[in-house]
Amino acid sequence: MSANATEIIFRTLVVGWGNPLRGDDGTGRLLAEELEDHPVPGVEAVALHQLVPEVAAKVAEAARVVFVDARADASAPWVRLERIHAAATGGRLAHAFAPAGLLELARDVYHAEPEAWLLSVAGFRFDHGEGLSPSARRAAASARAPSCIV
Amino acid sequence: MKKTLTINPVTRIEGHARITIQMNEQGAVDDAVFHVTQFRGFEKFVEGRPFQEMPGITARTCGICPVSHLLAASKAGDAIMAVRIPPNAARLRRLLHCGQMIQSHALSLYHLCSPDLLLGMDAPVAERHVLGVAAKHPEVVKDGIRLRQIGQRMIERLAGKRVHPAWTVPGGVNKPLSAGVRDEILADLPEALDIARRAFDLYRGIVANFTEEIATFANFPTLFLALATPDGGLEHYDGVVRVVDADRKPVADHLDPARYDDFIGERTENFSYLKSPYYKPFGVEKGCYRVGPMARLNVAEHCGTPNADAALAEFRKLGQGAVLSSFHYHQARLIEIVYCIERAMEILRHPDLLDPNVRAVAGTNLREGVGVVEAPRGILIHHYKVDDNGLITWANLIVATGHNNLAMNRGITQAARHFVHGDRLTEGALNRVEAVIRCYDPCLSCSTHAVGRMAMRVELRDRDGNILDERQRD
Repeated sequence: MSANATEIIFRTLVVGWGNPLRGDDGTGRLLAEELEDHPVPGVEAVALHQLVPEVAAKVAEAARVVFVDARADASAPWVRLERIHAAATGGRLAHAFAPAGLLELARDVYHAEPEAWLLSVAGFRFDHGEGLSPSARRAAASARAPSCIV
Repeated sequence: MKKTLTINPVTRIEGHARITIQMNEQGAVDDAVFHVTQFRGFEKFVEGRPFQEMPGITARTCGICPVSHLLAASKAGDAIMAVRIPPNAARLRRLLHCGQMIQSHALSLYHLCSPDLLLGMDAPVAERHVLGVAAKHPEVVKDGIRLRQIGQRMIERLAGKRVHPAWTVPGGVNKPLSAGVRDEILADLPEALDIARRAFDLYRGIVANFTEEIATFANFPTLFLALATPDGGLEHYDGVVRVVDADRKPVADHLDPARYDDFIGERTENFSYLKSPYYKPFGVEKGCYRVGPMARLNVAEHCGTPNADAALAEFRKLGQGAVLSSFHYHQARLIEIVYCIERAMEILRHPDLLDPNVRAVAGTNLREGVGVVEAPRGILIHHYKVDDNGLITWANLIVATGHNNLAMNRGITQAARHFVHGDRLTEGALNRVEAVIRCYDPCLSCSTHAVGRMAMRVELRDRDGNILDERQRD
């Protein structure tokens, strides 16, 4: 295996997504953008408006994937890190994908099953408007530690 | 007793909507209505912003087709500045738009509609999605992902970002193209053309399975409206507005897109946030028109690239005059993918493509500007009014999907009358009514999508609103 191939296979992919014009919905994207701006060795960050199918190709190239998204449920703990697996998401699929669907796509199309996690950050305000709410900013600050650890 | 069937939300479309089907006492369908249930309010909250910011703001209307908004907003800005942008800026904008069309059409065909086309309208709902297609036809899904990647990479290489790029600005684009980027984009396109050819072969092999759907998926005469080149060619970025009837006879030609208000009226309905535009000279009842890929090909006399023109000749055989069944939007999308790949190759080989003069600079010279492009789903209009300082005082966005609203409503009524009987929806009937909407690939705009918020719910209600039956899709 070439050094280049080693680098591709053994990296961590952080996928953060959300709509920054819908308040706290943009949390995941914001965190991924921070990682894009301040790269961590071995970690590739992708900031998106929403999950789209071609992300599956990137997922398939990673050893570990961390999906980062806002969570409509604002209950404690504000930051949750949970292991997720490939799963059919049926009627939920639209233009936007769910993480489990992307994992399934990576498995079925590219025969790749990276270790996957969902880092969900509590959101408190999803109305029209830019910027995170004060509570979401605190939650996002808590999320930075685990997202960098990976 | 009259009954109402509700499909809520409609799946595998962009955004949030529901369909209500009105049943009469005999258990037959009276009417069907497409409701867009989300409200975004962009036109209101852009008031007070500088017009130069409008491309960046309005591009956020959608995560799938931001480039179309970017271009329409930039063109409206060009008009406010009263400038004619440098020829190479127009060339580069067209190139960016090709990338957008390729990725957006690929999403519709491969990821949203392939479950219906390859697994069948009656396939079990638990399998009828792109993951089900991936399990049975992984190479097709891989092609779809690759085609979208190529389109997205075109956008990213040109504009720096895949989603919400801010490369095009009022006056042109903010950075010329380098030879390296040109060559990288060009290197991907032969593969894209191969993928498109495979898709055509596949489509030709399965389309005969859908004769009933072709006959009943919005298969009726309407007008068709699109941009065209002055000599009637397919046009996505500029040009004139052309309207043809069901016989493909021109109803109007060489209309100035900036004067859209002369020929497009807008009706609002109390059941939907989506406006219902109509061709004004004919009134609401007779002015129903369709836009988007099928409309553009009905309007156009030619595409102007070799493979797309050959495919257009094949497409013409689907109708006596215009092609009428909205099922054929799928084929039209394929043709436009081919066209955009070939057009992008032409542009990339243009001798002046690296010309560094790509931006005209000016201030606020007019108080009003209109920008019009063909988005993947149809004609997109941005119209702004500004004050002396260039701050937006009024904005009107007529989005591509809206133009098809009247036709979508008539289309689901036609399909529901054919496929829905009695007071219960079968999965196959439900899916076919939804599939009519999916033919148009409506983009109702993405909104909040936080974890755990998407599901499919179908309700059966009586005329008083009482739920008689319901079904949940997770």
